[in-house]
Amino acid sequence: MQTAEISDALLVQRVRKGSEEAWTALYQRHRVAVFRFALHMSGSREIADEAVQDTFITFLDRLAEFQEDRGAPIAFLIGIARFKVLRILRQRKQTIPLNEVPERPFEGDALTDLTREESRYALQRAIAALPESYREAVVLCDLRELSYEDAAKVMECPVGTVRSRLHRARQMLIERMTAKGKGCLA
Amino acid sequence: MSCEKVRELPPEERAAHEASCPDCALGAALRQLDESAGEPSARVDAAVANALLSRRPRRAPSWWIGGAAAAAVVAVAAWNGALRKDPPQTAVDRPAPESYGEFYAIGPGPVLEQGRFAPVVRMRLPRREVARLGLPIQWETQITSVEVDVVVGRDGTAKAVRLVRLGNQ
Repeated sequence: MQTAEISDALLVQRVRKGSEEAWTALYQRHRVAVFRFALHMSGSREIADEAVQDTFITFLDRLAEFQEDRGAPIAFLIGIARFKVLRILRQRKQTIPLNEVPERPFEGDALTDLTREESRYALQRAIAALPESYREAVVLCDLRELSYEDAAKVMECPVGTVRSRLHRARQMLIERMTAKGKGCLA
Repeated sequence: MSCEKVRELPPEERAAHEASCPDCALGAALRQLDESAGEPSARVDAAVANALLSRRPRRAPSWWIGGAAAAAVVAVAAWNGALRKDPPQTAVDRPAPESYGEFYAIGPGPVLEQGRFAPVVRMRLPRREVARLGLPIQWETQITSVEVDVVVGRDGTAKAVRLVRLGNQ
């Protein structure tokens, strides 16, 4: 069986036995998701790189704690990455390095024109400006597309709290990115 | 139109819906942003790839297996001796524990960043390569390869190396 067809749970079992091939496959499968989570949360590629490295090495050290029946490995990995990113940001006494997301002049509706670089910057800045708990909800549910249940495990809060934070975060982003501020999901 | 079905629509219809629905426009914008976010650097890939190697349980060296076999033989002999009322055999040559030399930096730049840990990989190198790195080895022995510990930097390259002296060396 090709490693691409093997479930995460089976890969984890093989990693526990010291399989280098399984470790590589598991890393390749989730490296981008962990990196992008860390990048969207921190706004910094440097922090995202550091978080990815620390997350996977911590995952190896904590393999004994991971229980396949209590959630997907990606939720466990992102839970570790979340802790790493928040710790790094707090160590640096900053909520997010906004200077890495430069302000650009913006015209028009950013939500319908993401092909323009200015629009991406505007959206990055809008995400960066969200309160930490709201930013987490958007990054986990809308960007990483985790289920509400997995996001709740990562955020260590009830599912209902995830829903309400996500709803509020979306409203704040829409208000910032458009003039209308009305949505059809409300 | 339910917003949950929007992603199944043809691109033109989806764009038309997103133009009038800020929530769906936001979802599409976030997905585009995510797709343009890139991926971890090559040095992170290398460091993570090395992480498993540095955490593998060390293989029992052949001298340890030999020593264990010898100890078992002596233990059996001692047991037989005890049955024969002979004086018990107590002197068993146990292998001495391994010891380490100092780490030698390889190449320019700091070996480690302050406050960070780095993986250490145990490997066996030909004696010629060890000498080329400038490590002090004994040329008069018959050993053709030497156990070393290698510090792996965050960029995945070797930063420092030290000799591991096994009990029989």
